Amino acid sequence: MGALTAFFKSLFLKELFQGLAVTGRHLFVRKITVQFPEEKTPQSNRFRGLHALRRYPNGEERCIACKLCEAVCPAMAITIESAEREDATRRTTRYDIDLIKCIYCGFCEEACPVDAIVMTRIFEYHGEKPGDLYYTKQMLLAVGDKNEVQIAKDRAQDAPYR
Amino acid sequence: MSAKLEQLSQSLQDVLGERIVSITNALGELTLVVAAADYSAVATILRDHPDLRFEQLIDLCGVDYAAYGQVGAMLGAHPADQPRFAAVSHLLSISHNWRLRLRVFATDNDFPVLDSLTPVWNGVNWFEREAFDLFGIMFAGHTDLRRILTDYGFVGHPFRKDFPISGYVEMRYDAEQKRVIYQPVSIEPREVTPRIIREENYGATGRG
Amino acid sequence: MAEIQNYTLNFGPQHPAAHGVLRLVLELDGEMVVRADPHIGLLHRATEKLAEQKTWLQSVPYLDRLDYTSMLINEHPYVMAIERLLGIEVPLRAQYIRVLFDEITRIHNHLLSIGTQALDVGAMTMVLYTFREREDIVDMMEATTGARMHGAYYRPGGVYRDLPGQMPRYEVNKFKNAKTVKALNEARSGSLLDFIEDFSNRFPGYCDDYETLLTDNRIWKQRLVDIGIVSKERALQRGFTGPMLRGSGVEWDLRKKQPYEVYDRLDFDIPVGVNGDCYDRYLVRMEEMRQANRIIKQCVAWLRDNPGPVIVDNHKVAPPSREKMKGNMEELIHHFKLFTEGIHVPSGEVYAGIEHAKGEFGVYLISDGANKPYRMKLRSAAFTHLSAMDEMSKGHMIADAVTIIGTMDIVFGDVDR
Repeated sequence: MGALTAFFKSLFLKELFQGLAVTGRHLFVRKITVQFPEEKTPQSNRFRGLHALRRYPNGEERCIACKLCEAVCPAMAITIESAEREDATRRTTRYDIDLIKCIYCGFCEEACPVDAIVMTRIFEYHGEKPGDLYYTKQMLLAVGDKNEVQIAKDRAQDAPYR
Repeated sequence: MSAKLEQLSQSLQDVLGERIVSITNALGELTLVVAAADYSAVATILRDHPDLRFEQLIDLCGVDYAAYGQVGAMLGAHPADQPRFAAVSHLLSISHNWRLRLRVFATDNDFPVLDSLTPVWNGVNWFEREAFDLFGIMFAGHTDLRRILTDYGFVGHPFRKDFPISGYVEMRYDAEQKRVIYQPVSIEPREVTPRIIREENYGATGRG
Repeated sequence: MAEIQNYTLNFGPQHPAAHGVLRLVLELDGEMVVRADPHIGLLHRATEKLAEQKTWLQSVPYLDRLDYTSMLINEHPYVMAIERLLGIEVPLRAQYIRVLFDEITRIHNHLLSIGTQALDVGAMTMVLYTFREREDIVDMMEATTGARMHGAYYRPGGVYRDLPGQMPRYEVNKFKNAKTVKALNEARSGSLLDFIEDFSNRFPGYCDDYETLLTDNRIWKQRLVDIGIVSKERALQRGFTGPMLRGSGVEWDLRKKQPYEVYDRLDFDIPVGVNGDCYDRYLVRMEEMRQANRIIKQCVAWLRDNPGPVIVDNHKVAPPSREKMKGNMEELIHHFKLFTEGIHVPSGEVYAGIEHAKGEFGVYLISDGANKPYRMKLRSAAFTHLSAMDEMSKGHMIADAVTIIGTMDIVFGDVDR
């Protein structure tokens, strides 16, 4: 009996039609396609994208050149040089991140004691020639200035977990 | 678990007797050290003896002890009278559900040679090729001892402690010659956090 | 007439069915494989050597990049080995979170493995279905770790931060109206745990779909049954682990036999194959996904009821919370010490092996008491499995070589390290 059923199942391509039915069912299921880049998938507030340097609300840059991020960076992508300013505070004179070396682990943000270096939600950035993805202090500050609202919101939301 | 390890340790002593150089029980793992001369004979016993039955060789790796416990320049300050290269394998017995670490030091530091375990555990083939490639340990009796991970035509054994992290040569495409060329490395070595060994028990948390 | 010579074919390194950068030199007699010689190392990044130059913490993100289809589980044996050397106990909640993500990653890995294997042997649609579910999984990872793939989430002593209380949601746009968005966000309305639970409720249904598409399908069976048979004895000899070993009928799973973390508290079964062919290994992977789903459910239930710390409160190992660090001088010093000099691990050696999605993934660490490992050896399952390529493909047709590569579930980040 078993052999006979198996024969007929095989003869009438039962399993192929069952498989086809799955495909057919999905013809009518709501599509999950996302029309990138016009619309985007939901993004977490913990997302680790492009770096940014932040400022205090009064416009003073946060980074105090403690070089913790430089020390912890596993890829050695960060280079910092610092000097004393006229007002006797220590600030960076050079803060470079080589995005080609960076592995986006987020350790710099984790290490930063003053929340100066952060990783934003930005993931669509590119370089057209060698050197374009070598971000200097001015570029990083500019990213921070542009996205400060979102950055601050994400940090505040995630603060209880860190 | 520790009772089991003691049982294993006892069986090892009963079975291998004189051939054991040392046997250590640390961190819930048993390490057996044998001499290079006894290596393959011991391996066969470890696999076949009913009280041991290590059917599987999980891992074999080369170790270079040249800079062990040293800081600063990690270059060949190794005393010549001490063995430098070792092959460490991890064995697993499915029937007894226990593990063993087997270490054997090569006697000659300049031309380390060890017996191949391929006849005992066939799966060790690539592990030995890897140890040869990265550390330059020769495995006598291995039928196919070629380089495995490094580039075709690579010179040197990159995982030795005296091999610099950036290597000696770099490769790039030369637009003028229209081919890939090798040239001396242009990378400048950079070390942000130096290697530090603190005094005994620094940062000890639970043990010792 | 000249004698017909064997034909040597270069398969890869850029072949879509090679699952990465595998250069396979095949010696063919007609269409039959006489000898297969895999040339590997094209993705060799010397992770082990790099780790010798980095502090213990800094290597964690590099572990993700080994087997890039099962990311978080790679970090697990590494942090476990450090914890054993340090002799510290991980908080229970962190153990559950790790197990939860290990199993999520296992599903992620098997989805990719089965999907792409089906793609290799000609079942085009499978990969579309499995990648749809994979999308949910990478969303979970993104919500927790901040990265869709390379999480860098496990830490010596626990995990970085607790699971988030909310999931990111879809927003109304010109393609999706409020009703569609509401339906899409239904599962995302609660916390991450709600989202995972919702997924684990849906997932068995998806598995049924995959099985309907593949398990009985005659083409699938023709391509897989009796291909690449490995006997029990040969599997042990060749050092097979994981689904490759279980497919050959050896009931061996580290989660059951040498339980780590909280696996001894969880209820799950180990699927075992009979014939040791590609089809059995496919069935084993399929069942493993269902079992992983069971574990996920149990973990979610436990994690819901038991809040608590997720990383040890020992500031020689784990950094203090940001709030404490900013308010207390001593904690600030700990913070600085940890992120510059790093952890000091007592001298000794340890091997930590876990049941990775592909087999046993082990990390062997030798420490000489410094703030960097003296030697790290990564034992990856795929490396051993690929070394049996010659043995498994001998006497098969060239098209079967593709099936065998697929069934080994190799990923080159893992093979080459």
